Amino acid sequence: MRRFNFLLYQDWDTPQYKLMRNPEVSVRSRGVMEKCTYCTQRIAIARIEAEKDQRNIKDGEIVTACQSVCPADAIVFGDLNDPNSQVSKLKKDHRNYALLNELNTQPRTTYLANLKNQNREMPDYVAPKTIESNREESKDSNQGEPSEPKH
Amino acid sequence: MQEVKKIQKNLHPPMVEGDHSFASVTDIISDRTLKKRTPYGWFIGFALAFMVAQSLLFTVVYLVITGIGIWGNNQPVGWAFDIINFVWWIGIGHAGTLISAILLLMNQKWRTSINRFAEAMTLFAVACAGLFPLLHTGRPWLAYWLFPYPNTMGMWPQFRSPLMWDVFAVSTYATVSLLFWYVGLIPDIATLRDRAKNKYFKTVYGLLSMGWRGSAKHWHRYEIAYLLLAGISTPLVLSVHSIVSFDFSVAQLPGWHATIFPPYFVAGAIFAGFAMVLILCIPLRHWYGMEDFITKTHLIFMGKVMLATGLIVVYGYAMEGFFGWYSANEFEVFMIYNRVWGGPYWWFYWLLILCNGLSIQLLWFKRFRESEFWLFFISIIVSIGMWLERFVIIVTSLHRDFLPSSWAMYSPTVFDWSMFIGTIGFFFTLLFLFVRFLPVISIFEVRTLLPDAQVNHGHHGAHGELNDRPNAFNESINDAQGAEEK
Ligand code: SF4
Repeated sequence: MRRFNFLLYQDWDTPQYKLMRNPEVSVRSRGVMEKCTYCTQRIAIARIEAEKDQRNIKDGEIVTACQSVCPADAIVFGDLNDPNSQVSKLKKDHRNYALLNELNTQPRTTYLANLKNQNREMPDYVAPKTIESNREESKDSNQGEPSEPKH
Repeated sequence: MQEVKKIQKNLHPPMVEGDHSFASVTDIISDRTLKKRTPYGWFIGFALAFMVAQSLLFTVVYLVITGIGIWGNNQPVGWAFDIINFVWWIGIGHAGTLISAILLLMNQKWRTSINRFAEAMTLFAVACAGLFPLLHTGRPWLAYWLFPYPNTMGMWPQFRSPLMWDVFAVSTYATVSLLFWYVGLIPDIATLRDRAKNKYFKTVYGLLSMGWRGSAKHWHRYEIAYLLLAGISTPLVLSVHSIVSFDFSVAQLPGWHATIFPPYFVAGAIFAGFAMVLILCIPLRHWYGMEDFITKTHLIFMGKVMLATGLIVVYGYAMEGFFGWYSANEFEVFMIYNRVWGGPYWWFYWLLILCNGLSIQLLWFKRFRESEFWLFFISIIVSIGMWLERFVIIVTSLHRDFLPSSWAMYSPTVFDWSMFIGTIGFFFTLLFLFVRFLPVISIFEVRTLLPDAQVNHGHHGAHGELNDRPNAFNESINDAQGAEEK
């Protein structure tokens, strides 16, 4: 997985590729880390719209790109400062966990543990007590961006 | 009476051997630069070093054009040769500062004949060290973003990051070292100016000596400036490498997150630095006929400092193991297991113990401390060992981090090597130039060590070295030609 642009991976010169790029997103050049921006361009659009109407951004108004293409609706994005937002509710779920939280990494993106209905007949059956150890792989991303419109 | 003298000689071994006067000291040291033919060995050495330095030039150019992907770093070993070499070079520089600042304040006279080139070594080592983090930024032409300056990008450095502290620590260190070295050089450059016959040398030394005439006022100001700079440098000896160690110990990674790191790193730096001073001064005294000024006593003292700091470093290794076990933290225990015998890099650890732990035990014996060959040999081994130490700390800790899914091996690429070896060439190129064009040993300070310098006082010890200097200089002014002009 690419985490850092150690080299210039982008082809800036082929003119056809220019059409391919999203004009709202700046493509990272060499010497810059690769990191999720939480689709800052979409947040900016929603913030401007809300500011024009003199209101707060509504829950669910910002849909990140990965969220919009996810067929399983596994990704939720919203305002963590708003206790009634969907993302805050999901965060309160006791299945919610963060990567390396025991090291106090405090990541914004957290996950919901996988639930599995196990078949007792199957050889890989695990007694329910240890079910927490089956958490891997559930990619329920929910995180928040404090999105109060600024005046 | 004879016996008393003998005991005295053992207690206070002479720092200058042979029968020297003020004039002969000046002659011997300055003739190296001004009169004597440059030895063929110099040309061979310089050519070799310069050739090796080209590999640095090539790598840096290629790196700036392409990006740091040409190095072997990647997740999880995001720091490898670049920071290993950075810490290695910075560490080497520390001996120079220790010799020039701390030993000056402690009135250790034996520093006098080695401080000049030890400081030069510091400066060149810091120059080599600085290259690595600078180039690791990925876009080195934007490295000024590291400094807090008001800008329209709304960008401000993260002051909680130890990497930020590094920027300030190292840039302060480089500045103070340069000033210290240069201020110390001024009186000697003036001597060279006065003795030079060649027009170009006269002009260049004349410019560099900043109008030094050796008046009492000049000496007075010089002493104050030098003492102040020594005072400023002293905390730097401890702080720079402490901050470098924070790069690691502030992180949570097992193998880095240890409270012993700052003192352990500082001791390691002085250890590596003295090894490098020995590597440089043994050939220098040998081939440049400086045996009278860099005496056996100097070598023995340096051997002792190396032994003492080396033992602190070994204590650090022992404590790392002990903390790993005593913490009862499974990650720490695993780190020690992985480092010492379970991991793929285990043999680096044992090589390190061999180089840094076992080899220095020879220095307990007078026979080895007094032998040029053994000191040189042990110093080379120690330099390799200190490099391995950083490799063990950085790579073996990173390659097994908290997430087994990201575990990976690290192997350097040819560009990692060419850059590292290139900096060694660059370092020696600068040193060869320094040896050729500047006095390698501080002329006026060595003169204060001569018996002649003591005569004026009659009693020993009440006046420090600092008081002696102006007298030594004034008397010798008569010897120096053309001192009255300007
Ligand atoms: S929110 Fe999703 S689509 Fe947007 S930057 Fe992050 S990962 Fe990419």
